[in-house]
Amino acid sequence: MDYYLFAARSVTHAQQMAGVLSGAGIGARIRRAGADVTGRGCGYTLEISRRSYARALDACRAGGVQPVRILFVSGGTKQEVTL
Amino acid sequence: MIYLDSAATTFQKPAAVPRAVLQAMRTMSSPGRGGYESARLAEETLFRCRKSAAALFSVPSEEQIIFTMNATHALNIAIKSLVRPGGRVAVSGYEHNAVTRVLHALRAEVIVAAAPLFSPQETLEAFEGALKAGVDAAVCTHVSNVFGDILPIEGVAQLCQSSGVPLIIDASQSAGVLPIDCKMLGAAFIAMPGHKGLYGPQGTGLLLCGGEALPLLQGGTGSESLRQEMPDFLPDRLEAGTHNVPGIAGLAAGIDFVRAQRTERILLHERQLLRRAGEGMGRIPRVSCCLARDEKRQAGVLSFTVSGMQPEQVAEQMASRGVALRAGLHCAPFAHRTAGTLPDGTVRMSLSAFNRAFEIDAMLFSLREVAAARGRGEIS
Repeated sequence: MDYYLFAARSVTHAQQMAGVLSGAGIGARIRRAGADVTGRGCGYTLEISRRSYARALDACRAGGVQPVRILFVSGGTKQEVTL
Repeated sequence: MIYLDSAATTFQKPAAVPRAVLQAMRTMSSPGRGGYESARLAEETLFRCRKSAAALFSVPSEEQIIFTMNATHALNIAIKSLVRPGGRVAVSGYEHNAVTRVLHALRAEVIVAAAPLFSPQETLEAFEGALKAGVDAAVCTHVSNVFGDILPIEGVAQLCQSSGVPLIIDASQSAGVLPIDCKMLGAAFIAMPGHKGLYGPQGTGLLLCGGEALPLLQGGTGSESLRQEMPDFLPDRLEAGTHNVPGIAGLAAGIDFVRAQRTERILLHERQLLRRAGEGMGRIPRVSCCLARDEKRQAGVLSFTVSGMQPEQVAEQMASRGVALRAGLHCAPFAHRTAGTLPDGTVRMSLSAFNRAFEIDAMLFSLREVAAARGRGEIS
């Protein structure tokens, strides 16, 4: 299944994003992330379905809690999305 | 025991506080350290507490809510972020050692904006003068921990803003009792304990960050682990090491209590009891108390003395009658110097939402006994 990962700078930031997305009716699971996602060691991400991606990004921007990095995951391969 | 020392710590807590502490100890592990259930529960608890505190104090982002061990810890971070060794700082005349000892250790030049008790206009004038001297920062307590004097913090904040001086507010005696609007005040930092007016357990505190902060401690944060520098984002920048999860769970329950009761109601309740105590003391021979003429200038803290008795002696006599009060300098020699109550200090009565009128009456009865015994020479 294809999905997006919204990388957060901290667990608090991830929780803020999850809260904003929940308010917009978008479900998002907070997941731990490794250096392959954050580029800087341990961190947190939100898993966003492909269908919700555009709305999720808009909601995060509007809520002032933009992800620090976005990755598109397809068939186990991660590709960075330019913000 | 009649507990009247809530300015030190609120001893009676809402039932939900110990329940939350126990629940956390039974179900939660370290936040930010794993993706499993007990870590997730801990993370949710911390976030819930940040969210609740952000709502109570009008803080724009949960990331600006920093967990500390107490207000002293929070003040250390704030002061050391803004004041370099040998710097110059303006402080009110009612600061606690949690402020002044930190400045002393930094060998800072301290300009005291001293003004008489319960004199907001003179306080503002004193601050205006102090800020003109060119200072790196200003520190102002919101409420004197000795006298309950409510300092004109909004005015001090405005003066600091117009002078471009970062302000640190010590909200140790006001958090949970007076409205605190972080956005409106525009302070660089607001420090507060969790275990006083927020009814959390001892070992908890908060720092509300409005400006750039330097870490007091370095260590693991569960984020950016490849880097050797502390993260440059909040709250991780200031929260090295494992959190006091049970304490924070209790603090969240305490803040929920305050939000449900509303600070205005708690303040009104404490003020009613304070007037009852102050007016009652006024009718006891040998007792003098520092009661503000304008009740709006005083929070739930009242200092008094008994003529011919050392404050410690009064508190000891009252303790033997089951009344818990605090005596001496209350870790605030600056406040006693400003008010003219050095070197002996005062006896302090301080209230919480859990005190009742009958406790004040019982305290007054005991105080009358003690003062009368001194008058008869039964206590020397």
